Amino acid sequence: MSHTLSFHWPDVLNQHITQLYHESQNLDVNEFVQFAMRLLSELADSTEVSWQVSDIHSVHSTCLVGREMDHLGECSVVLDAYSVRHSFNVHTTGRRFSAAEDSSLRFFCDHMVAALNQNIRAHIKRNDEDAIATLDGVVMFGTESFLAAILDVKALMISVNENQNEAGKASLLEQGEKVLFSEIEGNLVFTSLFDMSAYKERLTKRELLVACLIGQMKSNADIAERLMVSVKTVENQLTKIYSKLDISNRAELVSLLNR
Amino acid sequence: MAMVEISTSEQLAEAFNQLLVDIYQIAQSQPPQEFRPSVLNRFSELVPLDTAFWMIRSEVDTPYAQDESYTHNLPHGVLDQYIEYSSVYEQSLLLNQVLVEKMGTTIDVKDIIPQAEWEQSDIYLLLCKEYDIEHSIMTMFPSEHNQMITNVSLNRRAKNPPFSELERRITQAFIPHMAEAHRVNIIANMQNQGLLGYCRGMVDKHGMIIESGEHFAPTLKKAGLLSGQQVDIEALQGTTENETPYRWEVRIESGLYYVELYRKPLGELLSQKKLKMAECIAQGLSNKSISKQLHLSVETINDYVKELYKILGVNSRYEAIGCLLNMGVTKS
Repeated sequence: MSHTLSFHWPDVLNQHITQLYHESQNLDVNEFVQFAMRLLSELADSTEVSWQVSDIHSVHSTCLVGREMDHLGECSVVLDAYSVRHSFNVHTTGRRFSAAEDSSLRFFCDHMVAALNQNIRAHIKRNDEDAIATLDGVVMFGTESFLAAILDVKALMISVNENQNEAGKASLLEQGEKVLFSEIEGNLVFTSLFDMSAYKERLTKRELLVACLIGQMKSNADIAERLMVSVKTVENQLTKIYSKLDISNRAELVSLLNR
Repeated sequence: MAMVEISTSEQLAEAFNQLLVDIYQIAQSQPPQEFRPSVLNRFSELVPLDTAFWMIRSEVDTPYAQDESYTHNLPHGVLDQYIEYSSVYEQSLLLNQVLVEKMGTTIDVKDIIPQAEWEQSDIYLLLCKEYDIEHSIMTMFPSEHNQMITNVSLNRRAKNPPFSELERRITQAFIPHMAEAHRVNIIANMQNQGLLGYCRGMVDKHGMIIESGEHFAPTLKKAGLLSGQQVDIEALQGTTENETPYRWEVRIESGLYYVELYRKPLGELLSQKKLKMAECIAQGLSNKSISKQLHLSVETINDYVKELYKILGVNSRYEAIGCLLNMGVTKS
């Protein structure tokens, strides 16, 4: 290595990077995004930062955290392994970043993207979800089998958009024989694929959703919260499901769905 | 020797950043035994090295411990000699003391022990010459995140140039990432194959849990392997024949115990008759209909159900069904 080279690598950058990967294994996806943004704003000494995610071909983007800014101080764009485009905007007032600060921030953004992908993988392993997308329908992570099953990513986008209009927190989309279940948390959509084809004829969309959640061992209170309805409504829907499927209790339903 | 041609300081920073991205990727994707070799191989693309020691421990009572070290491109057992010769041991204690005082700093052995003195010393004559270790830089780094101490020494052969000040500084910046990436690697591997009734953890020789999945400590307790906060290492290594619903496997690597706990299959814990009853429960049948089907009194079924809840560690029928279905108990 040449003797004329010098190595600029601030300790604070090192500490922020290890923090980032450390929390990527511990936090939920939305918490992690918040955490990473806080580290970025600390590093940049700026309170106005944003992280936008978009499809490489699309002009739409989802702002993960921060607010959309009309004036951008500095911007860094990173393309990750899933061809998802991440843009980071860091706004400064009254000064420009030095070259050293600028490269520190740019390096840190690379790690934000890499650590987010690790965080999403860890989340999927923990919670057995099949895919995570942004509100615009950019699939940030999806197992191969999942992507093959939905075939057309646009389908996921439609489900997400419908979702926003309904202002609901969860939705179902029929895709062939499978049922896609999406849930919005913060700026991200968590999607799972269930084989509910056997019940599609007999249950309404809403009842399928309730049954789907019962099959995942959720309590009535959990379901009510997720679907933004009262517990009483969930109980009523359950009663209907029992009579339609000719069963008498929750235990039988769980066993039926898992058969 | 470096794979990427680096001629400006900007390119060097860029190359270092890419190195960090890569090693965290290695951490996420490699099995535990591949992790340390892969990281050192990747690092030597930027800072060439011939051999290395990489230890991870929860204390620094001795300078080296054979069973806690990963040796890179060196024959296994090379560290035994440190303990074997008292003059070598004393000199390595001195180095260790400097490392403890300068935690987080990468030191060049040549800066601690004068060259002339070094070449006369037993540590050099008996060890370094034997294994062709001419240049050596060492670092001791305490992890903020799991209280483990990472101890790394990187070495070059006589035919290769000594480590430059630039390389020493690059190494110093890199060591914290070696420690953190190692932790990521352990956790990522624990999350793989996360089946119900199965959990993993890593325990040090003092019985401290270093890293573990969510249910590790409570499951250890249920398996009778935890007294207070301390893991019973003796019981862990002893027979796994036991009365509890768990069995375990222990693998010792670099002085750490990698523990895997499994729930025994129900067939081993329950009699034929009780197993039949568990299948009925999984089908959502009531106690009354089970009693009819198995020709047993409702009272007997009630007792069996209580026993089953205890084995499964659940408090309700709903949980029990979820648990049984996850264990693959269905209509036979």
